[in-house]
Amino acid sequence: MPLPISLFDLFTPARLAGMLVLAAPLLVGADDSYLREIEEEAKRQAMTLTTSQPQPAPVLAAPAPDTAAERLAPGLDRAAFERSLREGLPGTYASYQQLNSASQQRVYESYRNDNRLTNISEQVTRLLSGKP
Amino acid sequence: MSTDYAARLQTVLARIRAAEQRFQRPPGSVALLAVSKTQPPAAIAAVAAAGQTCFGENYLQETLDKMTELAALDLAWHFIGPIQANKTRPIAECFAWVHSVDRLKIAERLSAQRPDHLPPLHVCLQVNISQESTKHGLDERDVPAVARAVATLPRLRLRGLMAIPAPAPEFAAQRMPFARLRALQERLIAEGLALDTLSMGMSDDLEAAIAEGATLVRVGTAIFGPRA
Repeated sequence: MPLPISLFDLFTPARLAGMLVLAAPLLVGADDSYLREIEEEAKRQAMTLTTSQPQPAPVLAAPAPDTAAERLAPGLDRAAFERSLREGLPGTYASYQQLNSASQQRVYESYRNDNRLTNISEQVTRLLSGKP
Repeated sequence: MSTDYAARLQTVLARIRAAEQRFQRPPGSVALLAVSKTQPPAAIAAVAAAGQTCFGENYLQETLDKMTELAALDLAWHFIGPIQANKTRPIAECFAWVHSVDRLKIAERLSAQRPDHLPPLHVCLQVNISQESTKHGLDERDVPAVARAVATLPRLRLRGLMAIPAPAPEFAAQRMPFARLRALQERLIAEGLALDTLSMGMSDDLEAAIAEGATLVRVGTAIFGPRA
């Protein structure tokens, strides 16, 4: 029995346009769910990235003795400062002993403001060399 | 290739011997330090095979790698480069000499970190003899105070002074800073310090340095060729 309409009639431009209009909500719906899936996947990835982000690498500390040697202990009285200088910076202490008492007092006062070994050592050298 | 190194080494040694003779220095009074910085271990091995035992290096990590590779050879390693305070320990542990001590605190660290089973570390004070802002080294005026202090450090042996003067084209001009370094050394000796080393003179000015009393010249290019 022949079909009431031929296939050619079924896909005329007018009918195709009508089918697209009818199918559009379905297609949009498909796009929406696809987008939702992508969004959800992106959220999951973001959470994974956030939660599994590596902790910042710990700052590598220099070997303890070297780090400790960078400064004299703060707040020492004059006698303790000299003992500490003798033990920590024996060469600087040898130079310090050659300074007159006023210069030694200057070194001690400087130490109270700045206890870095480098600065103490350089100040002693400067004073012994007759520099201001 | 090994022949090239051997020939160049012999040429440098001949220059040193000729300069000793020309400037009335006792034969053999000037030693050669082969500056091997940036040179591969194979080149150092070739120069060592030609009879050289003392090598000077500037870069710590590079040298430590070479030391490992050349451990079978009986070489004396001299550190001649700038020293960072946080790098003193491997220098104190691995080198026989340090020529570039330019602060008292560096010397104190080297002494504190020199292992007990090793002999004292031989050191020279580096002097900024041409007073160039770009060069490392002690101000001449600070040298006596620092030298006296370094001489008290138990694990160091203060041997003398080192300098890298500004380049000068004329022989007479080359001699002037070397003469100043020698005068400074003589002053320290007069004060009672037992110093016997003047580390000065390189490929281009070793004759001028020997004329002024160098006991150790540091030569790289003339032995190894230009660096890449």
